[in-house]
Amino acid sequence: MATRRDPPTAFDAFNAVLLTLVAVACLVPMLHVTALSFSSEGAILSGRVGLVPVGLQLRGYQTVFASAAMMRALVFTVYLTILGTSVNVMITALGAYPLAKPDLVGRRVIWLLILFTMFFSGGLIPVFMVVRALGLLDTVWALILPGTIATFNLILMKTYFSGIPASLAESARMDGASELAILMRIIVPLSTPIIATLALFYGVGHWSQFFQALIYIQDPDKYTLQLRLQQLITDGVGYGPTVVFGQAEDIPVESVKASAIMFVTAPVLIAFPFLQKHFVKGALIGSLKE
Amino acid sequence: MTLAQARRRKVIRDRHLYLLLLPVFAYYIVFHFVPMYGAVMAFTDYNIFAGIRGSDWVGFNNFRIMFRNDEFFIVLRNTVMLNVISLLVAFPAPLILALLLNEVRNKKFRRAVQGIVYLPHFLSWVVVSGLIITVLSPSSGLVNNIIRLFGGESIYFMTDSVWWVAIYQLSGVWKEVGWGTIIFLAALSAVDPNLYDAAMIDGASRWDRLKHVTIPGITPMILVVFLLSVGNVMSISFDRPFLLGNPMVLDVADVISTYVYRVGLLNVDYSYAAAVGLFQSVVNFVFLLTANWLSNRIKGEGLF
Repeated sequence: MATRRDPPTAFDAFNAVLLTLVAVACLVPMLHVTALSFSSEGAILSGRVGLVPVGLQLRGYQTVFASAAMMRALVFTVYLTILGTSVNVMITALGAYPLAKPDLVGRRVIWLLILFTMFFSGGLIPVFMVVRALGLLDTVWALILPGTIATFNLILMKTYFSGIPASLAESARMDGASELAILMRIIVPLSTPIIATLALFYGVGHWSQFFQALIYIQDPDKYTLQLRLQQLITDGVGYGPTVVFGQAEDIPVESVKASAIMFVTAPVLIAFPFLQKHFVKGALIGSLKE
Repeated sequence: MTLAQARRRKVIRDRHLYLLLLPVFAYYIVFHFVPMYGAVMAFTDYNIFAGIRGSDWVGFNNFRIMFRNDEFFIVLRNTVMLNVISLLVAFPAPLILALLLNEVRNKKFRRAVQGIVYLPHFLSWVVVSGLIITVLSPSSGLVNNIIRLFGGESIYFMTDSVWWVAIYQLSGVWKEVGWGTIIFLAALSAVDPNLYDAAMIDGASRWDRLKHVTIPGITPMILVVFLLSVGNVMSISFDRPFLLGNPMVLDVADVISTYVYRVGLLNVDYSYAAAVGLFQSVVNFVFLLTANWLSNRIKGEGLF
């Protein structure tokens, strides 16, 4: 580490240039695709678009917003994200609260069994069979219940709850409050930072969810945005746009693809400053060992 | 009062806490432990209508078929190959970036760079694959536009197996290098500042301090991160190889997870796919245990 007493060296200049290049490299793909999304199809296909739009137009975005398939996917994905995140946070809190109590009988065994699931799984096919047997295929629950608790998040929340003085819960218990009331009225209000962090973890997870939608959902009314985007970009050779937008229209395919990418990314970009603050904090809580 | 009586009294006292845990138990049993039992289907000729008990028991037959199948060895090789290259490329990248960030004196500059490099972590693989395929497009992508500007020929990055492996690795670095620095930066900030002062009094240069204070200070963290990667050498999650892959590069892009999906869910060969999945889970588990044991032996500090 450099200190104030170290004179600036050639290395410092080199380092600044290098880090600037790394940061630029992180942004360039997004800038290029943004430029494509506003460019005319002719300019894109002749390879003239770099980081600035050429032949400015909005037909790409117009096509995306006019698409019933994309709008339905948007509504469903928002619904999935809100419903899923609520379930995730609630059930994770129900697990974290009792398990944070040091003298709960059986705590060690329960915790070891839970941790074991982080390292060993039955595999994709048996999980699929369970989801199928429960009749969850083609429902929003297939995208929520198999991931109700991310064990890593449970660890974060349990660690946080363990830091809350036990005397607070104890005095409420003396007054005859039920455990659920203690959790809801005392623990939760004291835990807004960790709840916000986990809500963001789970929320981004649902928004980005692809694989589960691919295997559990056949009904086009329940396709998620990520699934639609994948169909548009990588599914088959050139059939994607027809699948999503129908045959009839003469659409500027390349700018539509770019617009769709930005459309799906925009909410994450808007939430990013907020995300960053909470995620970094959350990731650090997680690096503290039990 | 005996110990057993005391325990019983505690259980009765905490009965409402166990009640709160019920949905949690239900989740872990239904979606984790039942599938672990369900993996037994790998030893049957699974009939979806008869269930595990109603299906014919075939012992290790599915595993025998697996080990005689060339396709299985290709996906096994690809999984290990892509992960080993990642150990060489994607594992050191965030460490180096963290060390470089740690040398920056201008706080504002450092925070700005950190903010930007965290961003790709929050994008889904669908979006990242979309960005990469677009940027590398032979006809309209930025990279090939530049290559042609300098008189070169367009490169078909995504359909050439060698290029594809390079792009697979770079895409992982692009998405996760910034995020990966967090854990190292935390370890770096935990290094005792007195050690730096003492080193300076002894006349140590910045390079000396890096070598003798910084690196030894974060070695346990480096080891933990390294062992976790080694422990997962048999598994690649589905999204990245599936979304970046295409029929032209299946010889390198097909890995265990995409294979299980294709054979099990698309070709509905359930018991064989379950056998492949179980093989992967067991090997992965053994690797993780070994990695942890090694970590305990070398540093006296394990993952768990």
